[in-house]
Amino acid sequence: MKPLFSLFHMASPATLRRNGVLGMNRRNAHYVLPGNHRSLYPNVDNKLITKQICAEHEIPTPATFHIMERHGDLDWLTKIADLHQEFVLKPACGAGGRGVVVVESHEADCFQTAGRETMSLTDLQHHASTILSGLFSLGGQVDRAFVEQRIVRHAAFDPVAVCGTPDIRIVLYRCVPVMAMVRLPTNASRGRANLHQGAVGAGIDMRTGRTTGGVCRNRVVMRHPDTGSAIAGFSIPHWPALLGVSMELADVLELGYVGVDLVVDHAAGPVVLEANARPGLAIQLANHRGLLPRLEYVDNKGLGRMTVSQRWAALHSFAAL
Amino acid sequence: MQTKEHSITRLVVVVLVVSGTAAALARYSLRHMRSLPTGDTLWRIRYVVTFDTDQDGARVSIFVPGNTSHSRVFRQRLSHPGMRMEVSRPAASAINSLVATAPQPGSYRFVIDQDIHFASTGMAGSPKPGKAITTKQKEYYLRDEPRVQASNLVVRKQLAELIAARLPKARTVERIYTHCIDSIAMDAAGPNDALGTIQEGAGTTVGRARAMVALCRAAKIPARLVCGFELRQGEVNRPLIWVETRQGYGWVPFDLTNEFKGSVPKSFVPVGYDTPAPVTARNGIAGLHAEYSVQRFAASEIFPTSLRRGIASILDLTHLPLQTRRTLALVLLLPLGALITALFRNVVGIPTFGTFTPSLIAMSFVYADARIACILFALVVTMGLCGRFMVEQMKLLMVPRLSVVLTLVVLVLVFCLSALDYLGLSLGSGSMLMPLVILTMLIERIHITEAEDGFAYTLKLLVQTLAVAALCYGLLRWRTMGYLLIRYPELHLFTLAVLICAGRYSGYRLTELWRFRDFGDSSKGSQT
Repeated sequence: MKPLFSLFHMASPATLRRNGVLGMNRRNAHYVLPGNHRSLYPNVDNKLITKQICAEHEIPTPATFHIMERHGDLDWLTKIADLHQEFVLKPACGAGGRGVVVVESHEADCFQTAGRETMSLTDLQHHASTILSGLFSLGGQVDRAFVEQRIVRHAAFDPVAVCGTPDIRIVLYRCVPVMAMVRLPTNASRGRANLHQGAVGAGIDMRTGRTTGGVCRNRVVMRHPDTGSAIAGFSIPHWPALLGVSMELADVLELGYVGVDLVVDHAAGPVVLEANARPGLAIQLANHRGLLPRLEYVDNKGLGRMTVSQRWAALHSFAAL
Repeated sequence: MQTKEHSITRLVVVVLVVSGTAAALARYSLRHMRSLPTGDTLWRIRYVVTFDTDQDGARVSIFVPGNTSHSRVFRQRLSHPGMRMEVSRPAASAINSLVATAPQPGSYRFVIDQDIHFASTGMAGSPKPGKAITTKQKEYYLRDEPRVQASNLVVRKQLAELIAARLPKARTVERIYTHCIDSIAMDAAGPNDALGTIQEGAGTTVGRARAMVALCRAAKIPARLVCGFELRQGEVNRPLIWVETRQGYGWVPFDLTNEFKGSVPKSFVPVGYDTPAPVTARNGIAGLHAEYSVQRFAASEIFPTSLRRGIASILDLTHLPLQTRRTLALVLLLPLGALITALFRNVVGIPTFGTFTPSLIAMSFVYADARIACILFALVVTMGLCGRFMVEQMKLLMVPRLSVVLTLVVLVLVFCLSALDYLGLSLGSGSMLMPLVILTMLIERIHITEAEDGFAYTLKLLVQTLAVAALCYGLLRWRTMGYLLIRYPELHLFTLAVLICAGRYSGYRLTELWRFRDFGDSSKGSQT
């Protein structure tokens, strides 16, 4: 059977099981469905609610400049452009980075995006109108658009990021950070940190915060495709703080299985961008490690929630898993 | 928690499988154990038709039996290699007819079997006595036809000679019938139209019947020609021709050949109205030859479960009219389409545009000519996308924008159909099943995905959607399975069981074996 899978350049299910790889079906059936109560989904599916929760618990998030609920609010974009040289326009209920426009700079009616594209004010207003109509929202429902502060990436990321800001995805199971990766924008991903659009995902050693290697379009890469810098061995700035913020957010969100996306601002340090109740599985490729042993490790620690010190201790154990 | 859910799932699946098996077995044994009520018989009317054509799209009309107070069609089998067969309902007729279309010049042959259950004591739940006919229907049955010249002076004069004074309808019809029996001779080589038959005082079976219809219509009494068969064992099985006149709330039959007045034997089964034969050429047909046979067969060969209508017959879909059964056979296949989609999503791991879009696209293709429907689909999507790109320049709000695209899709579809008609091609009767709103949303999704994720990813997703749609299409075309589900709808309990199992499947998806291939490769993939 095994040579048959090799013939088609596939891994056999036995190999994946041996490596502890978590599949989409198992993630949904064993972790997302039992661990994440449906009533808690709006807390993460709606970025504005996530921001509100963060604000209530003093968890740092990018500053919100304005929230647009009606098409009549679109004129606000002109006022925002007058006040801010750079900003991000987002749908409240978007998924997979869809509908997000990062404005790096603008001159008069000409807006330069992080993806090196140029948009007019009309284009921007039309995009915001599309967001309000719900085209990017998860259930296709009418949505809200908001404009927030653009995070300026930490200088430490300069050798391994182009066009945009790298974000750090930490997957937490029962509030324990089990795996993390940093997503590095590329020219192919048009400055976005989305792996399926061509960004590089680099695994992170949970204990040290150093990158272990990268993956681009599901294949292992050792150097950044645009800058040529080595991806492994790079230290994520503010790593302990990033872990602390993610655990704090997981505690208040009460989701059993959650992915928290953070960025490191050059001035403010770790900032929460959003949380995800169905975090993807590419993090395993980036780390070249399966999630299952770590998830089972947490399960074996009993049904109750682990204390913060136990969680930090668990991070050391993950190195061997 | 997981164990509890596993236990519930296992229990539900076992219950579904056991009850599905039990119900199917019970129905199967009932179909074979129950015997026909005394006096009831089963019959098969077979049409074997051959013809030649030197044109594209030549057509033949086929009239098939409908249900009567004593007979019910419980099965129909069509064999028409290389031809398209569609159901149509002629104007003002209660009986369905079929239209066979030969796509290109050549010689063709088709066979149609209609299995009929005849109940000598009357069929329970048979159609109730009719209501008064509408003015429109009355006008239809009083109309002048090329071969039933009701308004011709000769016919009127003949009527005036027969009916000197005003008489009740029944007496008028009786007098016309007696005249046709006594004064119009049977002549196999005689004319077969009303005028010629009345002028010559002789005509064919059809000519005599048409003469009676014309005289009745001239007397302002709605009348029609009936073509049918007698359920009687015999070697020569020519179709019968009789006349029906409208009196009060019902049609009263008169058979000039066998001299039945006011009623015909219950074994007479009508197949069509105002047609001289069950199969007639419509256009471009040469050498049409039709053979008919009526044969009785044993009850053990097939048993109609709908012999008597009780409350339990609700569970029996075979008693429904043929057209309804055709539709239901397709509808009953849809859960299998959904099963394919679910398996592709959760076991294979192929995402598509919209969850049920492939099934709905496939469904719209079922009744249409597949090749033409594919071209039409490609055209509509391409033109719709062009329209969507143009609309993008105007920066419209979403709902009006979607409505604009929907309107464009409708217009493209309508003019494509018109162009097909101009080219002499037909898409088939079900062409308008094309899910326009789904197509509009598909166009919008394609456009957005292209803008967000690039052309390659969009193309990949579109190809995957069409591949799943093609599989669903193959399944929905599987008529045998559709009719099996009509007979044994409880088989969907197995579908439910498989769907639940797919819903609890937590193994790897096939695409994940590819996605995570580096885990099985010591070289850890291509390193850059």
